[in-house]
Amino acid sequence: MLGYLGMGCVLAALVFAAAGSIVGFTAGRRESPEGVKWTRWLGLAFSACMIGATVAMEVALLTHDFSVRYVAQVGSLSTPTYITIVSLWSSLEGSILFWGFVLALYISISIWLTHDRSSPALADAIATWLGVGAFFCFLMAGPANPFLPLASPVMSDGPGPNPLLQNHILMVVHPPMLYLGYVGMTIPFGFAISALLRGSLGPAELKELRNALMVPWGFLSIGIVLGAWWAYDVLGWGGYWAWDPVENASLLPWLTGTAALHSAMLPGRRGTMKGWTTTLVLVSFLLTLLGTFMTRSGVFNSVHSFSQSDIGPTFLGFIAITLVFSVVVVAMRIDRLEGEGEGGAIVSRESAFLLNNLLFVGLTFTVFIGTTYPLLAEAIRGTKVSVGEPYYNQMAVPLGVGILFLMGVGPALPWGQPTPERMRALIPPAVVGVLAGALGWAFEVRTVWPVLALVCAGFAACVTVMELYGAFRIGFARQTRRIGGYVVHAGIIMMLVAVAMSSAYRVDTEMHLKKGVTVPFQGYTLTYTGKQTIEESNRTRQLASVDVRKDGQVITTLSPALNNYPQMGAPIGTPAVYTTAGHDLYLSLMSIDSGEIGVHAFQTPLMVWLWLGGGVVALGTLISLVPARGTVAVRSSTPAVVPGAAEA
Amino acid sequence: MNILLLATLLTAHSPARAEEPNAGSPVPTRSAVASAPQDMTADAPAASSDPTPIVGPPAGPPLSGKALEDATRTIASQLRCPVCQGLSVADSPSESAVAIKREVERLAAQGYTEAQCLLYFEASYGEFIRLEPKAEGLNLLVWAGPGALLVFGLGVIAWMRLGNRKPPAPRTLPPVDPALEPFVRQVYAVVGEGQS
Amino acid sequence: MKRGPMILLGGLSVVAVLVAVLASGFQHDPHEIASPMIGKPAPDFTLKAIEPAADGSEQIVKLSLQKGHPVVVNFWATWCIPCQQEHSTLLAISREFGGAVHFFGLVYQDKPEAIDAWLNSRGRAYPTLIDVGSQAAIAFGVYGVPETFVIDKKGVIRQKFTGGVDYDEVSALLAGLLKEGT
Repeated sequence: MLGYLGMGCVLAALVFAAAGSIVGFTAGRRESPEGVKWTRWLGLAFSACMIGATVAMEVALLTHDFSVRYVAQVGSLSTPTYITIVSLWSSLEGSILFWGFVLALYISISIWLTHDRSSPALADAIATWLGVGAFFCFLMAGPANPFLPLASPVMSDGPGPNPLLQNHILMVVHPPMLYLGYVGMTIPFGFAISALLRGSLGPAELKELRNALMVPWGFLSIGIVLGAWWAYDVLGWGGYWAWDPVENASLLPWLTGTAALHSAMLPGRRGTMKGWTTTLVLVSFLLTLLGTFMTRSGVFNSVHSFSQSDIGPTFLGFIAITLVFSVVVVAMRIDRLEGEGEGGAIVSRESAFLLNNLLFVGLTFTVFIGTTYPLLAEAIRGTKVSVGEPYYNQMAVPLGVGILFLMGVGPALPWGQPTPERMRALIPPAVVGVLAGALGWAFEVRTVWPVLALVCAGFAACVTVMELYGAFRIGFARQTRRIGGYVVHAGIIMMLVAVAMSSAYRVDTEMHLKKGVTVPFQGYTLTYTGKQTIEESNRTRQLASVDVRKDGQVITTLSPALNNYPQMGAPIGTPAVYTTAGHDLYLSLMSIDSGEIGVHAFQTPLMVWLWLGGGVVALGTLISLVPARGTVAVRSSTPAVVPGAAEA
Repeated sequence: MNILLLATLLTAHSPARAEEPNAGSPVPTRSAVASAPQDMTADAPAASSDPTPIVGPPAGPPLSGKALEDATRTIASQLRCPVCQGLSVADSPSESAVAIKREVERLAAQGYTEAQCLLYFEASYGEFIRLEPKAEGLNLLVWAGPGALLVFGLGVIAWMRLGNRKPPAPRTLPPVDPALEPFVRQVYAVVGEGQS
Repeated sequence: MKRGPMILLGGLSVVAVLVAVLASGFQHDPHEIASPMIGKPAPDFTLKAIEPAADGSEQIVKLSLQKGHPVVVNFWATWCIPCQQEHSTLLAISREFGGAVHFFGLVYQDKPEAIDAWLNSRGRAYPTLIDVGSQAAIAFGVYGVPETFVIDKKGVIRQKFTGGVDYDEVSALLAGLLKEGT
C-alpha cells in the first residue's frame, strides 16, 4: 500500500513539475503575471507530492514494510532506529528520492520567500527549478524506482544498510549537509538562467543571486568538512582526504561557487563581470550534476560508488541536455548582460578579485582533469592510469598558497586606485607574515611550501583581523555581509594552515603492544591493558584499552575498536583519537587478542584547527546571511540622493 | 541484497584486513632497522623477486636506518594500494599494502632507486599502480594542462586590464543641501568602505 | 567583439568531448585492470602445499618445473565470496583436463585451519599453496581475489581472468594450449 502511495506521489510530482516548467517558461516569454501565479502553484504542488513520497518511504522503513523493494534492500529489524531513518539515503534509489525531497524543500521555500513579487523573471527561475525536478521525478518513476514492490514471498527481515555506513554518527549528518549543498545549487542556477534569458542582472537580482548561492555554498562547506571528519574518525588510515573521485566531485562546485561569490561583488562595485558571474553559477550547478553522475554511474573507481546501474546513461543524457542548453543560453545572451564599468588600476582590489577567480578556476580545472583523465586515457590509450595524491599535492599546493596570499592582499587593496597610505598599510601584515614563518622555523617547519604557507597565512590573518576591526567600528548590524565574509576568511586560513602542517609533518608507526608492556611514541608512552567484547544489536565490538602517559602520568585511555558485522568478512575498525591544540594522537587497531594488539599510531599536528576552522566558516556564512541594517536607500524627503551610493 | 554491499563483494577487493597472516612474519616497526622483511622459514621462500632483469642493477647505494625509512615511505606513497580505493601503499592498513611496503623496503635496502622500484611494480601491476601518471605522451595533459590554463587566464586578465584601461571618470556631484551634510557623510562611511 | 559565436563553438566542442569521454566509461569496468604480464614469462615461485605429497612428506611446488604442461594458477582466499562461487567451476575444469594441465590454488592472507575447513566442505582436486607474505601475488600483480592466470607449456602467461572463471572460456583456452608444442 505504501509502495503504491509513494509511486503515485512521484508520478503526480512529475506531472506538476513538467507542467510547471512549461507554464513558467511560457509565462516568462509572454510576460504574464497570471502565468507566474500558476507557475508558483504548480511548484508548490510538486513540492507537496515529493514530500509526500518521502514520508511514505520513511514510514515504510520504520514499519519494516519489506514488500517495498528498497526497504527489503536496506532495512533490517536489528538496526537501531536512527539508522533506519537514515537508511533512506544509504542506497541508490533512496538517495535519488532524498534528492527530490531536498529539492522540494528548496523550491517551496524559495517560492514562499518571493511571494511578494510577480515578475516574469521569477517564472523563468521557477520553470528552471521545476525542469530539474521533473528529471529527478522521471528517474524515480523509471530506472531508479524505490517504491517497486518486491516479488513475493515477502521476507521477514533484511540485511540492513552497508555496515560502513552504520559505524559512525556522522553518517546521519554528512550526506544531508552535502545534499543541501548540491541540490541547493539549483536555486541560483534558476536565477542565473532567468537573468540570461531576460538579458538583465540588476542590483536586486544580483543580491538575490548571491544569497541564493551563499546558502548551498555554506552547506557544501559543512558537508565537505564533515566528510573529511568522517574519513578521519572512521576509516582508520589516519588521513582525511584521499582525492577520491567523489570527494573531488564535492570540491568542484565548491571551488567555482567560491569564485562566483567573489566575482559577484564586482558588478555591484564596478558594473563589470555580470556575464562571468552568471556563467560561474551555471558551471557550479552543472558540476553538481556531474558529481551526482560520478557517484551513481559506476563509471568511476571510487570508495563511494554505488554499483553499475541503469541510471548512468540516463543521467549522462540529462547532463548533456543541460550542458547544451546552458552553452546556448550563455552564448546568445551574455553580451546583453555586460554593464559599463571601469576596471580600476592594475594594482587594485579588482585585480585581486580577478586573480582570485583565476586561481579558483585553475584549481577547479586541475581537480577536474585529474579526476576525469583516467577515463580519457582509457578511451584513447586503452590502459588504466591512476591520478592520486602525489599529483594533487604537487599541483594544488602552489595554488593553495597563492589563494592564501590573495586573501591577505585582496582586502588590503582599495577599489579603484591605490594610494600611498593604503600601500603602507600592507607593511604590518607583511611583518606578521614573516614572523609567522619565523615561528614555524622555530618549530622545525623548514620545507619550502609549508613555510610559504605560514608566511601567507600570517599575512592574511593580520589583514583579516584589521578589516574585522574596521567593520566592527562601523557597527555589526550594518556590516553583516562584510563581517561574515572576513569570518569565513579567518576560518579558511585556519583550515589551510591545519592542512599544510598536518600533511607535511605527520608521524606514524606500526607497533605491537604486548599486554602490560609500555612502548614510547613521540613523547607519550602507550600501554595495552586489556580487551573488552561488546555485543550490540547489529554488530560485535572488540575494544582494546590503551593507557596513554605523558611524563609518567596517565592522561587518557584510548579504546580503538574492531567491529564485526555479520555480513562483512573482515572487521571494520574504529580508531581512537586524543586531541590537543597542538596535535592529535591517533590509534588505529590492526589486530587484537588478549595478549597483544597491533596498532598503527599517528601524531598529526594541528588537526583540531581543521574542524574548528570549518565551524568558523559555517559561522561566517550565517553572519553574512543576516540582512544588514541600513541597506535601504536613505529615506529622505529631498531628492538629493548621492550618486554612487550603491544599494548594499 | 544491499547493492552497495554486493558491489563491494563482487569487485572482489578485500576490505582492509585487520587480522595478520598466519605465516608469522613480523610487521616491521619503525625502530626495526632494515630487518628481514619476512620470515624466511625453512619451509620455502616464496616467489622470485629479483628486479634486476626488469630494471637493471641497483642504481643507488644500499640504505639503512632513517634513510631507508624515508626512502620506503617516499616510494610507498607513490604506489597505489591494489585492494583499496585510491589510498597509497604507505597509508593503507590492508595486508596487500603491507606486503608491498615490505617489498619496497627490501628493494630500497639493496639500493634500488625510486624510479627502479616504481618500474618494477609497474611491470607486474601495470601503470595503474603508480599514483601519479608518468609524464609522457597523453599524460602530459594533466601535467601541463593546469599551467597552460593559468598562463592563458593571466593573459586574458592582462588584456582586460591593459587593453580596456581608461582613466576613471571624475566624480561630479550635484550641489548638496548643507543640512544634509552629516547624512551624506554617514552614507559615505557605509558605502565608501563598507558593504562590497 | 561579439563573443556569442565563439562561446557557442568553444562551449559545444568542450561539451561534446566531455560527454564522449564520460560515455566511453560505460564500456569499461573501473575495477578490472588489464595485466601487463600477459605474454611475459610467469614469475617463478617455490611454495609449500597444504596437502602432503603422495608419500606423506611435505609437498613443495616450483612453478618453473611445470614447463611442458599448461598451468592454471588461481589466487583465492576463504573470506572471498566470488571465490566460493567459482570453486566448483575450477574443480570441474580440473577434472576434465586431468593430468595434462597442472592446477594450483594459491591462498594468501589467510589461516591454514580456515583453508582446510573450507576445502573439506567444498572439495579438493589439486594442490593448494600458501603464498607466504603475499609475495607471489605481488610478483603476479594480483589486485584482488579471485584472479586466475593461465600459463602455456613454455611458461608464458597467456591470459588472466579477474573475478570468477567461466567454464567454457577456460576450457576452450586450455584445449588450445594443449595442442601447442612445448
